[in-house]
Amino acid sequence: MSDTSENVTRPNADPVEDLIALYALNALDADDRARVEHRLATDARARALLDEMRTAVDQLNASAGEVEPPPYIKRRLMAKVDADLAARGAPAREVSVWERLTRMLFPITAALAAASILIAIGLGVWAASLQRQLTQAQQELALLQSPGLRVVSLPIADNAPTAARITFLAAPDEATGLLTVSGLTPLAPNQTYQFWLLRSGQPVAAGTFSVDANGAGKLIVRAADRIGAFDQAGVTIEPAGGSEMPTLSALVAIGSIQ
Amino acid sequence: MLDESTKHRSSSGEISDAELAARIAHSDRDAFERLYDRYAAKAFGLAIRLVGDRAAAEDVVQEAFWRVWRAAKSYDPNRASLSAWVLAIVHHCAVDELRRRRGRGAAVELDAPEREAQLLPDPSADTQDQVWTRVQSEQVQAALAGLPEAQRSVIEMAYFGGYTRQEIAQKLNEPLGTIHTRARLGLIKLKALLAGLNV
Repeated sequence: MSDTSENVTRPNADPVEDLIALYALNALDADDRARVEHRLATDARARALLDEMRTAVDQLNASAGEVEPPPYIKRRLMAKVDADLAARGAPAREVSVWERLTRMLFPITAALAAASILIAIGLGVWAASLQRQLTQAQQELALLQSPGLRVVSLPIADNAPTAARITFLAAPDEATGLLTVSGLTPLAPNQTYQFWLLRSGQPVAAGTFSVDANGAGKLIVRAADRIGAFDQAGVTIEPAGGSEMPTLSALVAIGSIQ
Repeated sequence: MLDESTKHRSSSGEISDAELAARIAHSDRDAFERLYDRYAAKAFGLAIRLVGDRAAAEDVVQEAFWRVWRAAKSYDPNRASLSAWVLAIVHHCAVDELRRRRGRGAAVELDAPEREAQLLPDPSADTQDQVWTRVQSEQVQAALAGLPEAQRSVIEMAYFGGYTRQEIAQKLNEPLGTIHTRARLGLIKLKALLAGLNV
């Protein structure tokens, strides 16, 4: 089926124009891509050639079919857009009561978004740290906007501090949740708190966390399945780095999340 | 090329693609949200077909729409419909993901049977070399099948596999110039075949 004319390199081929079909297919590395884009910026003929090549690629793209994405993608994206607008000082839009409430709960989002501008003026490590906090705040905000969000306080084990409070927030249809803790004892460096989700009594590791000097901490939980697929959750103290299965030598809390 | 942009014109009061694009270029959050609602399912469908699993496709779609938000000013409605522009960005992000995987050593093989089984609606399909059957449209499948094998291989490796021209040349053991020519002729022929099928 091979056409022999395909095996002959065109002797007078323009080396950049020759790359345009592969540019349309996204088959160029960064250097080649930059060469082509430089040409496209100044050469209408190259742009026309690209448009011709793109016709078939566009049809391939459009023929994949439609699949509805999960709603949390949109929430995360719009939270990121809101942070971007805040960082650029855009005028505030009208927001719902719920959004106002969540913003009151997380004022750090706007502050950190504004602070993230500092990244652009080169305050490296500090700004990068702020950006990480901003991302976490955005994730928390998106979680708290999940439809069907449930808030569960886990019963504290007998040998844990009586002031301890452990709360798990998650929507049953989502795979992510937020764990917040207070009143826990800060651990030695060779230990960590570990969160577990249990399905029919079988624990699945769901992340490790530490607490600050006041005993407070939080963890964004990313489960392998929807949270509603699990019936219980618990917290244990494990060796630093976490365990594959709970040692149960130091149970902090366990209870139903249904 | 601009036919898609006419599909959302305002006979029913809906904002046209052109107006949406113009508003997003001025950082209009609500316009961007409408754009997402309009094209997210297409974008996610494409991303799943390209990267093969929902979790990675979610990241691809989120990154692609973020790039749309950031690059809206660069969109030229005279050169592509908004739908085509958005999906081109999704393809770009999916290719980035495929290359990252290869960089991590998790090779993405074009004919990985388990991946195909997850993707293809027809489990009896020959999954070893018909990568293009990921395309849902029978007409587009027919057009791809109508390409000379050498040209189809290059398009498959580039479009579905995310390989660079150098990687394709190495894998096919052909000179770079031959790969360039096959890609160019293949896309021209594919366009003609699709036009012949009224796609």
